[in-house]
Amino acid sequence: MRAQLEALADEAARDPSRAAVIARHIADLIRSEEARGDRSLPYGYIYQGAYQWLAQVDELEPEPLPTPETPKAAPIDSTQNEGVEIRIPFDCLIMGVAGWAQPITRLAQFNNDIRINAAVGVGFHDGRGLFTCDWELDGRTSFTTTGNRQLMVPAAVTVGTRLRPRPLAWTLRRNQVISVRFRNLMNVWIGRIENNPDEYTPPNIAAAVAFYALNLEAP
Amino acid sequence: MSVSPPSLANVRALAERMGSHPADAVAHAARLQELVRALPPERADLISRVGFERASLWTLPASFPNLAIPAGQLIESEGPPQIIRCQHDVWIRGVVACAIPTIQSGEIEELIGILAILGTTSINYGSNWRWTFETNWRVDARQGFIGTGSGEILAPAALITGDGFYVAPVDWRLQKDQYIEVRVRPTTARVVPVDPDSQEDRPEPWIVVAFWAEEITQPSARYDHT
Repeated sequence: MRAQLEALADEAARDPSRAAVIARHIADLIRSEEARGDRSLPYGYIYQGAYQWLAQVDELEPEPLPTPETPKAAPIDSTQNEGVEIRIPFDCLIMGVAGWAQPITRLAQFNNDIRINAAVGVGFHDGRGLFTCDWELDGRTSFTTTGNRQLMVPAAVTVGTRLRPRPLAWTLRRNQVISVRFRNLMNVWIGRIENNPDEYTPPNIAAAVAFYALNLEAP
Repeated sequence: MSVSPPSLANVRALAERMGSHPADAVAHAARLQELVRALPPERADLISRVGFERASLWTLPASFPNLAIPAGQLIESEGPPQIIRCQHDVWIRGVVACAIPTIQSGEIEELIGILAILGTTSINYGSNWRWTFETNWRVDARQGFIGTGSGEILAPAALITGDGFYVAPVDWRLQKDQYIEVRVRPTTARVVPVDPDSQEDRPEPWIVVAFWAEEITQPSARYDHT
């Protein structure tokens, strides 16, 4: 009904000569809606984040850090990776956000990877120390900012976990787009190895950020 | 600060008036359009659910990526403070922090050993590797938020910040252009003493202290039904 009301109101504003007729139609629509009575959802439903929308990456490579050899590399608090988009399918209330990541073991580096991957990120819930992330809405500025510039910081201080999502109260409209950016931090954890006959390099990670949402449109 | 949205009853009342007074309808057409567009989303009563109405959307971080102990120095010193400027009126809801280390090692076996030991240290003494630094903050250069009662101090991050899984709650309303000044001092030398003979600077972890904030002028919960 919301969309109908908006279309009618827009038409009345566009063609004021028909405003009175359209206004009567709007009033009829609202009266019939009010006559239908309370359509509250059953107790308990509204407290469940039924929808879980994820931005995820499966094989995210580490990006070079700025060095004298790679001066144009993205600083640690930014990325050259494109964002992963989530298109909002209906008017919703996003209640929370959580993140997760896991390093990927390579067959060629199995003996090193299996042990390093188990040790890296210990002390961070759900691997949130292995990547930075941020998100923006409809191409506008990121929600992670110092006030003077936007930057990406570790997921550990940006998102919660599935057990304890970071609470949000974010109303979004149908067709808005959230864009989530990721950066692999494994090459930050694993610094210089002086004696490296295996030519070990930091592994890729799988990572995801999930938004938990309630449908605000009539069921 | 609450914003009272129009209701369907408001829209109906205006529409009925326009319908019964066609001469007024033209003048009110734009107002009707405004009211309809400002209607809350359907099921907006859900927004008033206690527990997530006051939820934060903005992450305001102070980032310290380039800390190091200079060669020849045995203890860490405080790095230059970082400033967070409030772009809007905000309600700061919580503080979280983390540190991302860079492990330099002689070989892979040493790397694995260091990661395992220091990771266990994090489990025991501060998740998110918050055992690696102390911190404090000031608002508009006012001191005293982190102190002894008679003086300001830098306190262990594990004690005054959360880790995202748990958030250290605060309850500040700050206005646009107020600023938060964050200071940190690495403390890794408590666990890994500095080599006095080293000729190289020792890099410290990338430290981030972040404040989770709700925007007040356009609240995250767009409609206040209280």
